[in-house]
Amino acid sequence: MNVKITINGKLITREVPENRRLLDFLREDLGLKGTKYGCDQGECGACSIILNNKIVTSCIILMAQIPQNSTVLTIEGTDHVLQLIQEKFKEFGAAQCGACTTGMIMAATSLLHLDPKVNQKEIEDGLCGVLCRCTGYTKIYDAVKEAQKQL
Amino acid sequence: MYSNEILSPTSLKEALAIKDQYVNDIFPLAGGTDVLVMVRNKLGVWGESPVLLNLNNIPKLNFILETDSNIEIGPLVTHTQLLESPIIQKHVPALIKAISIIGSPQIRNLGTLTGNVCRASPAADTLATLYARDTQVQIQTVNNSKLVPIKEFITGPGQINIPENGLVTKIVIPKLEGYFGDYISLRQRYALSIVVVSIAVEALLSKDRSRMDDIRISLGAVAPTIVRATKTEILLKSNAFTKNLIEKAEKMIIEESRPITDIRSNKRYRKAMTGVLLGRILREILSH
Amino acid sequence: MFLVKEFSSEVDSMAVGKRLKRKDADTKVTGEAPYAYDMSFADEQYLAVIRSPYAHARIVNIAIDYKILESLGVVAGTAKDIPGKNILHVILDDWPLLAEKVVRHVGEPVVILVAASLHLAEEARKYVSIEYIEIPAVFDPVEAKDHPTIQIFEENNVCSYWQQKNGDVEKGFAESDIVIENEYRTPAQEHAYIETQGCIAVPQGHDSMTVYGSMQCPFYVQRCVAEILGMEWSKVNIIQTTTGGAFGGKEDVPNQVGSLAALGAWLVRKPVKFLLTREEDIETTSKRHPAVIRYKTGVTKQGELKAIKVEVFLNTGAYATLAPAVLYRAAMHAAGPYRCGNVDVQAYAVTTNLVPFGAFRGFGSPQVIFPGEEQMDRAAESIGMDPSDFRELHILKVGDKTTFGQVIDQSVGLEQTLHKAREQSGWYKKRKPTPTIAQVLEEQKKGKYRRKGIGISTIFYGCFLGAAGKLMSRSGAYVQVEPDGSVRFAVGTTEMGQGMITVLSQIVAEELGIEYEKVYMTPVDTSRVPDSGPTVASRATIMSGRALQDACKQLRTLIYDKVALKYEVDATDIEIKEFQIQEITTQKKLLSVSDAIKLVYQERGQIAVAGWDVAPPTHYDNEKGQGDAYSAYAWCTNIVEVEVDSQIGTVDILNIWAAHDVGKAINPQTLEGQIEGGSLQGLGYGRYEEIIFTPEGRVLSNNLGTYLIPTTKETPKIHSIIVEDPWSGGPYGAKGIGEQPLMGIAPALTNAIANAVGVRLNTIPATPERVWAAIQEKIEEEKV
Ligand SMILES: Cc1cc2nc3c(=O)[nH]c(=O)nc-3n(C[C@H](O)[C@H](O)[C@H](O)COP(=O)(O)OP(=O)(O)OC[C@H]3O[C@@H](n4cnc5c(N)ncnc54)[C@H](O)[C@@H]3O)c2cc1C
Ligand code: FES
Ligand code: FES
Repeated sequence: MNVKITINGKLITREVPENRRLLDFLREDLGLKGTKYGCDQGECGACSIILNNKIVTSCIILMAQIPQNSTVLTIEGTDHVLQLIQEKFKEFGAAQCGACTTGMIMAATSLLHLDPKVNQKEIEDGLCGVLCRCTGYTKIYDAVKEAQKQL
Repeated sequence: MYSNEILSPTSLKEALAIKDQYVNDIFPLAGGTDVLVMVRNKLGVWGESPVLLNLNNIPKLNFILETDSNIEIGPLVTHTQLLESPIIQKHVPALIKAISIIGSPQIRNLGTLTGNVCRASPAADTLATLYARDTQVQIQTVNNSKLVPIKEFITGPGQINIPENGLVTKIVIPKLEGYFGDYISLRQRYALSIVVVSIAVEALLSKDRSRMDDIRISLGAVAPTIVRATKTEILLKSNAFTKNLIEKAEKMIIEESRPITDIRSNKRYRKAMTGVLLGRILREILSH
Repeated sequence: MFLVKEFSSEVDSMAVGKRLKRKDADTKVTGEAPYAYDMSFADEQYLAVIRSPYAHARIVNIAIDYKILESLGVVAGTAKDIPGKNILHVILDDWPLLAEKVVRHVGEPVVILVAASLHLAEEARKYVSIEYIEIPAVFDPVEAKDHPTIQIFEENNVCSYWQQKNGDVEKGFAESDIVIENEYRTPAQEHAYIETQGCIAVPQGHDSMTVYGSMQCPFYVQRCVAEILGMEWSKVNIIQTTTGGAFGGKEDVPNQVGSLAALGAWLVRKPVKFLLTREEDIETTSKRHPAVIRYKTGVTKQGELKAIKVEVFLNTGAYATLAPAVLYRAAMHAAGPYRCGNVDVQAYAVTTNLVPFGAFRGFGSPQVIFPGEEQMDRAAESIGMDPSDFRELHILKVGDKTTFGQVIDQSVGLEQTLHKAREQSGWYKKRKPTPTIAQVLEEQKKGKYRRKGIGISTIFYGCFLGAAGKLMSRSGAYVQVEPDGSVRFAVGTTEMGQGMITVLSQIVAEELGIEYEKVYMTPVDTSRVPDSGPTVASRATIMSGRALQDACKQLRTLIYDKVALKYEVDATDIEIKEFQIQEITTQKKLLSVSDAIKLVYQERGQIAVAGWDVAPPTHYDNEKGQGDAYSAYAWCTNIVEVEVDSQIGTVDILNIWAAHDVGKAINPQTLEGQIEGGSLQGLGYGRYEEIIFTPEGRVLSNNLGTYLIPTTKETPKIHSIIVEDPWSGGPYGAKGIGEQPLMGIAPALTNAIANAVGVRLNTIPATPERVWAAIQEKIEEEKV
């Protein structure tokens, strides 16, 4: 199939097999390896990206399912909230092994895009789709809350 | 990872024609949160990488409508859309409760109500409420369309009663005026986890609040499909609604349910929980 | 022992003790840090493994259709194709790379397939058929010990034994007023690192081999690959890729993963990638040993701790791998951080037909700490004493002797952690009397079914490898200064996310008086540093830290000499202060450290040095059951607050207070990160996580949807409390923090459940079903 999709602000048109996963399209075809993975079936959230302003797990989406003229934001993208959260993750030591980090940052970005004023409970709800085995989530909360102050 | 052939019609008419042609050799694909996991894990027929009928290019299948007596939901409506819909919030609050705990934001942004219904898992979150509401499923073929009650549509775990050339084109939830609706689910974890036991109740108290004019109780994950606790419903409808009656109802629903032991929980626990959960909802109603 | 520089506060230090930004943060938040799965090589091939479907079987025949495979371009390898020894060395040499005659667990590798795509390698499975004859299997360690017919390891299936003996336990029990005796069970816990195991082997013909991969212990992999391929060790080079979590799970398993990839690469003479799927990872790689523990405690009514007797049966699975070392830690920690004159600990590691279990944060200790701390609570309860007060009576203080006879003469911060945790949690206010079951039921009737409770545990942690692993307790380091004033260093211990690079960079910056920003660690590569032992037992900061201090001290001398010559001052009268070199006597600033380095460079002085460190001596006499088990101890008090639904059995965790004596917090931020992450893993162990096996010995909970780790929604508020009672042997007094955050959470949690609803659990995790069943049992027992 021929896809026409805007990824991180750049319009991309090309032929891809319709049964290719979005995750593989990003990582293998476009070389955007910042999107990680850990289960291939929606359970860990490491592969989370923002598709048409919604956070989704890219491992369980086929290219055929994506409407033409969609937009995708990945960790490599330019976005005010995204960059702010990346900065705060660094400042607060919210990334340990890093395997969940880019998925977690995308989930946090999506959350603050929708509502910059979320409270602790809403942060927990918003980030529950990404598993982190290292941090105990605590420094992640600190980073997100600090980012909120600057929005 | 996936080698399935995929057909992506752009109109319902085209989709029905394809289904008519391929019949059992093609499987509908909506959000894919069940389909893609089943294909990857080679579950049953999904292991043979069947051809997929991708419905996502048919924007007309995405609607939430309110009619005089019903709420109608199109096959591409996602869980997130339902959560955000004022119509659903107003008319089916118990469904909002059920959906808000499905998977994670990521999964709710992809998964659809119709997919949840057609997957026909006894642990599916939306089904208990849909059963309590006597929901109807619209099935369409190239030259026919009919409404089927959900309890006739779902025949077993993962099994639905649909003609080989049919597609689900609408979920129809009757409005219930004056009813109190609730849903509680027990699960091993509060996110990304599957139901251990769930219960949905839709109850209508008499004006003087002394009796139940109507009550519908359905249970999830205690049988091969969602089941209505009919004996307990009758008990509650045929007596004065008191503390004492609630205790009797708790015992009866435990009697009535026939759960199994599996990887998530055991039979004895599940059985006992049906009583506890029903008791909680009924006491809530009584104290209101 | 190494010279310790004293730092009283942050003001005095240039880098140590500060919350400096993690060195690896920049590339991790952008996703640029390369993990094994992000790497690719020209002409790379993929590997699939054909594994045993049986728990115990004889291999009768392996039939491979080589003709078809050749036409497809697929290469197969069996044990017969191994050019060297078919042994993965860990401790006892009983673990083969590929099974030859017998398979001993479901998932054991038998044949490898290598092809240009994973799909092709998978497709080729159908051209290999393996004929087995099943033989009886055993899965329970108590049953397997001395099993009359099933033999997995030597004659009695016991692959390791350790004991502790002190005084006379029978006399101790005779003198006790109350004796509490219980049998406990703990589950297999999966590491569930988010990046699964993976290695890529890149051959240089049959001459040498480089293996890249996600791992904790590159030197283990180096030896295994060399022995499997029959190559000199010098020709095998291992390079660690960014490692997405390990927690012990990437200690010995990469020996297998890396060697399988290397064998494949050797056979096809091309790079071979072997990345495990989540299912393959959970089903076939190590986990925390499940255990059965029999525990007996004797106390007097006055609160004297008279006797402790423990029997430990660790289920090691099909191969010993690390069991002797894991069991040692279990045995040493079994009687707790208490003074007790009569102790008897008998610990056995027993082989069974489950997947080989291995290292996991805590390394054998969580299995005995759960029962030990449950027993302490039950003892306190039996004499009507507050459990924190009861512990306070018995915890070790400076100068005390452990139950295995070691006098601890310094750095014992346990009492401080107890006091601080108790104070910050509001223990005495929160701790309500434990209700009777009748009271619980009475409240339920009134519609109150949620009850709060609070529980405690006090633990110790023997730092580093201890007497059982002392031969591996050495570390190398290499430090090189560059002409622009920046510094590069290499060590043999690894970063898995715990923050080692950051902390070691701080040590180098401090020692050399260089800005932290100018210090870099090179990726771990076995060709750069001599064998530094494994990155386990919370030893990386300390051992590599000391080796770096050794190197930096030499470098300082080299720098001082050149400076002294040029400025005509006495080389022994020079020091580094605030990034400047100054004369000690006059306090006159001579030049910046960066300029000094440039000076050395211009003067053609030596700019690279190697450092070395050997751990202080430890010795344990297993015949006597006494000895100096570890060179230092870290201490911790955990307090957990829960809310239990007494009708449903769900346990929600509200707060964790984790007070840790770590000697010195070199970076408080990474330290808190370890405490928070470790506490949550401990909470997982106590409350949620359990590998479920089928009756045939296969892992049933093989993905992250059936093996459940805590999400944000299960995470309580975690309060880290840092206590610094310095240890003279550690850099700046530090003792290491990797493991103890996990160890004591489970019992503090179950003790809190007991406080909330009055029931005791002998098995973890505390699932709703278990808590509910315990409540029902109590209702029946007491006939209320
Ligand atoms: C990580 C994870 C967590 C989850 N958690 C939950 C949870 O908590 N609760 C829960 O209930 N579910 C859960 N699910 C399951 C799943 O997300 C839901 O069942 C979802 O609603 C399915 O919708 P879908 O659009 O993705 O369906 P799909 O996967 O596209 O389809 C599901 C089934 O419906 C059929 N189908 C779809 N549309 C039609 C149609 N129009 N006509 C006929 N057949 C059709 C498909 O052929 C398939 O058999 C989870 C799934 C994942 C991956
Ligand atoms: S890899 Fe997509 S959710 Fe785990
Ligand atoms: S930082 Fe390692 S999994 Fe989150």
